Amino acid sequence: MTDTDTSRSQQSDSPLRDATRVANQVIENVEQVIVGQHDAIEHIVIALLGRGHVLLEDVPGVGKTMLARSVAASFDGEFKRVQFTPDLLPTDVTGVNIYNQKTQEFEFRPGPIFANVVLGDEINRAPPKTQSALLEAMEEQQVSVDGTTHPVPQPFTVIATQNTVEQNRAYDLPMAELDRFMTKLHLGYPNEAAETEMLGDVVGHHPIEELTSVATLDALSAARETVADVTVEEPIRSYATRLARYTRENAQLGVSPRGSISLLRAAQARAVLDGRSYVIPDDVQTEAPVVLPHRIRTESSEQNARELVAEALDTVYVE
Amino acid sequence: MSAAAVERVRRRVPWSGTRLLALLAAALAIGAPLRTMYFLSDVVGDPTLFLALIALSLGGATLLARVLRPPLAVGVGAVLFAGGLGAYILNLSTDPAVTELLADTAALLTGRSLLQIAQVRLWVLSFAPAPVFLTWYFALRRWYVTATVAAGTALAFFALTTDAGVVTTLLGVVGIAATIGFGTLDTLSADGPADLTKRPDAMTGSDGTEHVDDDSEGIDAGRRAVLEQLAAIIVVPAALSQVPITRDSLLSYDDESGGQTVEGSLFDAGESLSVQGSISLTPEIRYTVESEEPRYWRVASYDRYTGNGWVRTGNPRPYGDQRLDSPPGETRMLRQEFRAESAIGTVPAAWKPVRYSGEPSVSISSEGGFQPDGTLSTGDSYEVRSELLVATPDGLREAGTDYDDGTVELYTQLPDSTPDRVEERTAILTANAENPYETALVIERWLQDSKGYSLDVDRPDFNVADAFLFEMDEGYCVYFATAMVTMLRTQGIPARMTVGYTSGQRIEENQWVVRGLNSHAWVEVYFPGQGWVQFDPTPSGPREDIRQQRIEEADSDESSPTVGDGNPVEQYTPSDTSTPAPLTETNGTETEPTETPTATETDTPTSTTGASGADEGLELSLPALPSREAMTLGVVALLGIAAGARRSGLSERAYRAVWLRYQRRVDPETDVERAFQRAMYVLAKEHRRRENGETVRAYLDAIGADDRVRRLAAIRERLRYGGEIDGTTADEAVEIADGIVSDR
Repeated sequence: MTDTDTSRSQQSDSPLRDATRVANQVIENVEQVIVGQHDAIEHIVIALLGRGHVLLEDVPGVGKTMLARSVAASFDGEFKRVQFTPDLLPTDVTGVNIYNQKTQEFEFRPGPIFANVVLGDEINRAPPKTQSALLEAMEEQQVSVDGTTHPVPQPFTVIATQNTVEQNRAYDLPMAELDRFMTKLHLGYPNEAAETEMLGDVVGHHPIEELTSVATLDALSAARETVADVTVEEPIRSYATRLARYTRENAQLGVSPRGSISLLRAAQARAVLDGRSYVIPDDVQTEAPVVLPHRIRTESSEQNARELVAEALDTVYVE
Repeated sequence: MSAAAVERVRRRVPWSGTRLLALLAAALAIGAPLRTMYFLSDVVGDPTLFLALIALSLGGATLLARVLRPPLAVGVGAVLFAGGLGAYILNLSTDPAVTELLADTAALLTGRSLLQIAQVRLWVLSFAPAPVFLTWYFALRRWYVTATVAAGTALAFFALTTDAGVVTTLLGVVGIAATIGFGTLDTLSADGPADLTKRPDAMTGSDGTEHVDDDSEGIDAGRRAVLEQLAAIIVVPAALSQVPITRDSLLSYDDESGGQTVEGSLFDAGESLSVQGSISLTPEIRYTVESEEPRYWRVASYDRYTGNGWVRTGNPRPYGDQRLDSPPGETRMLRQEFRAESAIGTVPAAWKPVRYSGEPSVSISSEGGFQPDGTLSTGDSYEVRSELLVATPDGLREAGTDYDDGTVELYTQLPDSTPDRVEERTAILTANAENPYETALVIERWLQDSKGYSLDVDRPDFNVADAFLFEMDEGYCVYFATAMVTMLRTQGIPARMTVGYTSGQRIEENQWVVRGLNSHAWVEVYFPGQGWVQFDPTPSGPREDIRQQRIEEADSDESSPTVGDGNPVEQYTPSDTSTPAPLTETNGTETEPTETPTATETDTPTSTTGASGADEGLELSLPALPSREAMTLGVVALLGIAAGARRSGLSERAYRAVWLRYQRRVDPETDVERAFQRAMYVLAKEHRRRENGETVRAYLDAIGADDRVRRLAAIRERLRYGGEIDGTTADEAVEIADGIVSDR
């Protein structure tokens, strides 16, 4: 997936090369800690660059939280973690207005959501009201408390994790809210060699303690700008449309226009990761399996949604 | 109107206009082969049984269409076919029947006419029901495409055997096309939603429009493709037969395969002979003959009369140097030596040849004569020994009518459509004749006396013999001979049409020069215990005049015909006037002038057709242009070919070939895209097509494409998705594509 031709990007593309370098540095950095999850790390970095949010879903203990922390630690920005529990209140996330005796005024005390990277752990254990507080921030890039809106810091990315066991004690996210996550990842267990290696690494001192940031927030913001400028030509747009229409025709609930936007943003970030200033169909195909399935409701389970996306990629014609 | 509404209306009115049209078209499609079969069964006898069988098949199909399921109907069709096959094999007189059947089938498919099958009536009766049943059944079931498969197969078969004429074939093709067209309309349902899964065709370029590929139509598309090829099979030979703008297309445009002429049949000993209109004579020299005495040099005979032509039935068999049977009567030996003076496809000999020796290999035709396997070239020579029948008029009178069944069946057959007045007239004329010999003499003399001789005639449309007897005053040898054979056959006397050359111009004591203008047609009549006896009903006087005139013209010509090493032909004038050489040796004292035509050479009808290949110096009449019918047929055939080419993808293939090789430069963007599509087309041919969901990169990886292709793909990718392009890279892209296409 590497464009061998570099002559084109000589003069004007130094922002592009910077963005590519930042992305690759973050990936390398995270890989010091997380073994055997290269694709997942790439997808998370892509969501970061594509102004999206990530939902990690899996069984406990496969490193969801560790992965999110490693990515956050790779930037010098602010990182906050919220452990979602059944008794967590919306204000515990967003922050509260507190009466200041000295100034005799209410002053806003920001909650943990005011950070550049927010880790929402086990998001499905909190009640819907609390979930929606987080989700408003994700979509609107702002928080409303007592009628006042407070913008969240930029760049802003939420990495949420979700437990797939103990379903009876969880509040499943509604489709409308799932839609706001750019990508939904399943880590899965590492393979045997990777797991053995990982055990050797972490049994003593966990390497995450030594992880340092490799990129500044400014560099991340600049990279996001670069990604937003990546060219998406008409053939790519119509391909994304065809994919979305295919899912709508073959499922109870198909991919929304917001889903198509997310797909193209992810594809833009993928192009930058690859050192390109334009999106090619391959980018769309690489991102579709993590961007589309959680937006599709088929007659039965989600496994079928993933199969449907694979089927769409196989049968919908690509230029 | 929505599809559902159409469906409702259709259910309420089962006999919509479209359906009626489709059924009419189906009737036309099956009618074309039926017309041919009717003609075939009419030629050899009463077609009533055939018509009854067809009516039965149609009725059965109509009944069963309501109750029988399609797979069972196919079974019924197969049973009908197998039954017909069985009935045909069981009734074949030869043994083993299957060998004969196979030989016949192979011959039929390579252009032999069904008329040459001995048991053609049985054949038609055996094989007619299956296609009729299947076509009508499936047409009623609305399986129009399948219906036309049955009709089209039958039609294609008759087109291959050349029995279906141009008009019939075209009617059938039109019927098939119309059946499919109206049938599609009749069964049409609304189009499905636009298909996301189809990549637009490469040639449509960058507009990205979606159109439905043929592949998605599955079985029906397959059937349709088969039919289109079927139509091409039918139309092309029919059209080709019109291509050499043969002037005789003016003369024969109905159910005969046409184009055969007297001279033509003499050139290649053709298995059929159609009666022509006006003809001319050629003085070109064909043979020099060395013989003790002048005879009629016989080439071939024909046993089956079709109403407007003659056909020889049966297959030739190889000649293995054995001595052939002599006639049953008393005979004497005559040795002849022939030398071909131009390329020609016949080996004439006096009847009845029994032994042949010479360079060109020969076969024995079904009627007992020799025919060469190939073509004789100038200078080829051969020797034939013939057993001449020595028969007395008394002997012939007493021969009686004790014919064997085979002879009667073969040689007294007439088309059922022959008007009764032929028989009535003949019966009146020969009322006083007491035996077949006298009957033949009376008819021969009557024809000589009552009809004039002319090479310039209008060919009758229908039955040649009937028209010559009742409507025409003049004709040439083919007309005389045809009329005489027909008249004899109405009286139950076995007779056949014979063609060949008259003895020719005498140049030495024992040498004769035979020219094209010596070609002639006469009659052979069978007498039990004696054999075939020759009669010539053509009046000799006028022939002599025309012959003489032509020879003089030829002599005055610069390119005077020469013999052998260029010796000019000189008339040999023996001191005594040449005595008439009898066609039949008569030892008796009785003189029968009509029985013994003179040695003076008779006429040489030569049609003006280009088929003879000879550049005739002097022609009597030349139609300047093909007739309007021929032109119309040609235009229809051309349109048919064009439509067929378009439907079968031929024109698209041609366009694609050009598209692939010659890229017109437009602008860098278009150039790169087109160059890329050309390369992809070549790769698709070499490896496989790119799958629907397969990106270019994935495809190139999968087929292991080389760097050139990858470079082209990269250029195109940058242009298409990055919008970056300049003239130099466009040049490079086109160059790469040219290289890939030319490497192919």
